[in-house]
Amino acid sequence: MAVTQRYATFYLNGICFGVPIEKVQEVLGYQHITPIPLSSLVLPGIINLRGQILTTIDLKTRLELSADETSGQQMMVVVRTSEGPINLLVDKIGGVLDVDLDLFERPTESLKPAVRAVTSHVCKLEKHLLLVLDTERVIQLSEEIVLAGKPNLAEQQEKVLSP
Amino acid sequence: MNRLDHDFVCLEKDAKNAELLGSIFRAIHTIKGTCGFLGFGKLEMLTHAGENLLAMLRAGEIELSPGIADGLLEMVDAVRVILKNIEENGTEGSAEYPELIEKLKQLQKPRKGAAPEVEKKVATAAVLSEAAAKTEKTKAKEQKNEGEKSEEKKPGPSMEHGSTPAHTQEFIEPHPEAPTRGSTSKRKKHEVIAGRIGGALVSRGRVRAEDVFLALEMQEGGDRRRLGEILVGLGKMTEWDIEEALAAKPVIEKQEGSIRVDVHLLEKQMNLVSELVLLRNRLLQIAANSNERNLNASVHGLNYITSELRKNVMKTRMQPVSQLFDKLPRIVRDVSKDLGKKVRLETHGGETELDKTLLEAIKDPVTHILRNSLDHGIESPEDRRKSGKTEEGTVRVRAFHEGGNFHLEIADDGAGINAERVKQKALGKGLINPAQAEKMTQREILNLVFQPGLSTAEKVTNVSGRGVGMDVVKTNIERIGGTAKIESTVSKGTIVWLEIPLTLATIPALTVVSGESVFAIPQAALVEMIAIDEAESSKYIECIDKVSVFRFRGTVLPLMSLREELKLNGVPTEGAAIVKLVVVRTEGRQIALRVDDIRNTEEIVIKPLDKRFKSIALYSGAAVLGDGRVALILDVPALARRAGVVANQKLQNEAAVEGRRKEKLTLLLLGGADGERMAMPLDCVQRLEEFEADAVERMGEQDVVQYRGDILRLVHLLELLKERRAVPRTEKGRQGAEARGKFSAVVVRSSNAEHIILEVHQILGIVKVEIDRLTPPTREGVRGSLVVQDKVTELLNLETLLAKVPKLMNMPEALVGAGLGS
Repeated sequence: MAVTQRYATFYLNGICFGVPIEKVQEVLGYQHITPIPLSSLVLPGIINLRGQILTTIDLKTRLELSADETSGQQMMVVVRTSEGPINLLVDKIGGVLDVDLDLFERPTESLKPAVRAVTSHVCKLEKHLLLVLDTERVIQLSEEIVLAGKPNLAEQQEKVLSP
Repeated sequence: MNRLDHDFVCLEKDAKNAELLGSIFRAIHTIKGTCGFLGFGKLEMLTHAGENLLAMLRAGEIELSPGIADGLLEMVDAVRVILKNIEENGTEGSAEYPELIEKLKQLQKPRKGAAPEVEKKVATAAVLSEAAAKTEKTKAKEQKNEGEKSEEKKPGPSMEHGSTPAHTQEFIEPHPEAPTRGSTSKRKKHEVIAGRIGGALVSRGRVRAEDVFLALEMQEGGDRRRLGEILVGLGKMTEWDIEEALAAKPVIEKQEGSIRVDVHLLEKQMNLVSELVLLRNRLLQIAANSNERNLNASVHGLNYITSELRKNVMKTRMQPVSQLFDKLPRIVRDVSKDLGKKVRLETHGGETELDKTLLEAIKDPVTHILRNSLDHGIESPEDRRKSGKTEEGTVRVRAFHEGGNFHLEIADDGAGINAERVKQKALGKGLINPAQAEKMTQREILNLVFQPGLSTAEKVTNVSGRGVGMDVVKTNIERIGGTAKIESTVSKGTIVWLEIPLTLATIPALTVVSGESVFAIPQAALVEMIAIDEAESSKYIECIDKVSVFRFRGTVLPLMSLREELKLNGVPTEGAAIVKLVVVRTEGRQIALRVDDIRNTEEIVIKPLDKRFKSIALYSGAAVLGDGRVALILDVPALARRAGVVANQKLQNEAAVEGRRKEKLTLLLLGGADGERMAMPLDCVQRLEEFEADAVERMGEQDVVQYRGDILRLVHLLELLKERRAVPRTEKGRQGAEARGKFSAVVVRSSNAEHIILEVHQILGIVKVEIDRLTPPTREGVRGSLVVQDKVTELLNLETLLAKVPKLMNMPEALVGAGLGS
């Protein structure tokens, strides 16, 4: 009997990502994000989750994926990390998948460096790939990443406003 | 135990203080006396030895010497270790102290004659107390209480007070954690019962102690009746006696005015109350929009009770900082003795209160800073003498409340820190690059000692002495939302400041809106809110060299627009023809913040912001507001620093001033009659004014001007600088002004708080400059020359200038610039 692990999945630009289900605190519809002026794009702001202030990480920017394909309201996945709960901004929530541990492979060289850096495993599922994110690595934002995330929010909004 | 430490160190200074000696003796005695019946042999032996020594001291048989004090302190340490062990696992621990005991015995040598007698007395006392008192917990505090109680009953240097404390000890309930060990546990249980009822009976003289013991033994032997029943059965007493004794018990228990509460419980309570406050806020807002009369009334009541509750819960957590101060003399004593230095410790403000967890959190940093001061700050007596100081160094620790924060200042009059060496070190370590080093101010360099790399790397002496572990100090202080700063003057001394929020709970804050964001400004930093009609604003807001300033009650403040500073979006509300400003204060200076709108004040719970946002360094946290929105809490000191920095950068670009910068100053630029330029620090300036020439009146030999109900002296600036050029006020300096019918003047405040009006030829503007080096002055009243905006400018020394203003001779004291100062 193969050993399986359960993953909560979500999509970024149509790519399926997964996080071990026990790491997920909850899934939220879009909530108002209080912007932090002068902050980087990776960290668009904070949300108020029942009185608790959670930092939001824009996962797409974090993984250096193009923001162009973002359509409609994004969703939020609150993950438990060693630094407390962190809110991840994603495009769409997938389902919960049980994955056979035998299907796990190391992340391939072909992945973009920013993606590969935070991906612990890759699973070849029947229809598509599942990239398993290491949430601990996701929340490790080095100075460079924060800086790479610039321009700041103001300019980001300008970009959105002026198509 | 800390009291003991403190008392000992005091005693050392004042060896003849019988009261102190008495208090120490009592404390040791009670520890010793009580551990006797609990079977803590080691503790007993140790304290016994110490007690004998103390008894001799008290009887005046021997004099307190440093050696004796050492021995006694060592004993206190050992007792502390044992007590901790007992508290944790009910045993005395494995450590033995034969040497210490021997040492204590040796110390009694000088006049041994009296010792055996003392010993005997004490032994009798112990037996007596054992017979009567059967329950006790080895908590120093309780023991001390009892010691004092018993002392009240039997004043004077009596040693056989063992029989008296019995009846007070009886009523102390055994602590649930009271040590119970194996076979003795059963016995102890009886002792407890006996202690509660038997003790009361014995003390009332209803029954003899022997009878109680007999009854106890019967119980042990299998008699299942209660102690009182046995006693009645034995005919030793009546049931009435028992009832009376039992009834009397609660009365005495009431005297116990405090209870122990788990800190975690308090913590939880505090959190709940904080949440309650938030909920109340939300409810208040809902009620404000509702016409429901009942709701409003209830919410009003809830509001009041919540506030009271919060206040009280916060109070339960506040502790005087003297708890920390009491530990310091011992440290100073030990460290300075080790180092062969003479140091005097002064503590001020021990009554200042601080949240318990915060107090706990600053304990280590403070100890560390103190050790640093002693080790590297204070010089050896010889060195001090050589540099003309008293042999004894001073370390001053001062605590006080200011601006809603708790401040602690640790100052020494030692050697200070050589900033240049710190800089070289930091360069060597690669902590800063040469370009940075060029630009750094003295203060910034000194604060490098808080950098981790600089501290642990090498031996202290290489870095002018300071910095080992100072990074840990800073980290610890910042963890609790505080700040640490250091200032030092070579050969004068070093001051370390710690500023810590009083509590981590809610704070009142003003909420303001800029762009689409809501910000909270802690009330503690708030000075004033100002609304100015747009049309009028040019009177108050000036833009000089792209640096906005705001004239505020005679002072000129840097002005900063939140919208611009934070690059916020959104259009300000149309038709907002009112400029809204918030004046905030920090680190001794004020800045004005321009905001789009001012909302209201709210109690907010500070929630820490993710450390990732720290690099922005403008927010000190976030808070959930009454309406559920999230506000960022503005870090006012950071904003103020930024205001200074921004102003400077703009200025640099503008004037392309280059070179090294050290001191940062805001200067008022003045023009002379011959086009020469002068500048004075803006801090000295109270107000800039323009007067009509005919406003000048004569009073004796003086020119005076009526100004805001006061008569102020008027002096022409050039007159004060007359070494080079005499300017009678009717001639040169006046000509231009007189032609216009008015003249410019600067209202300044002299060192004795008097206001003086300085007439100047021309006010050119305000600039911010970093003063690198001043060319030496060529005349009196000038600090030196520097280049401002490509022009040579003399920096005036207002202090010496004003000293030259002739004193008013025939003017009543009350008339001299009175009202303005307030």
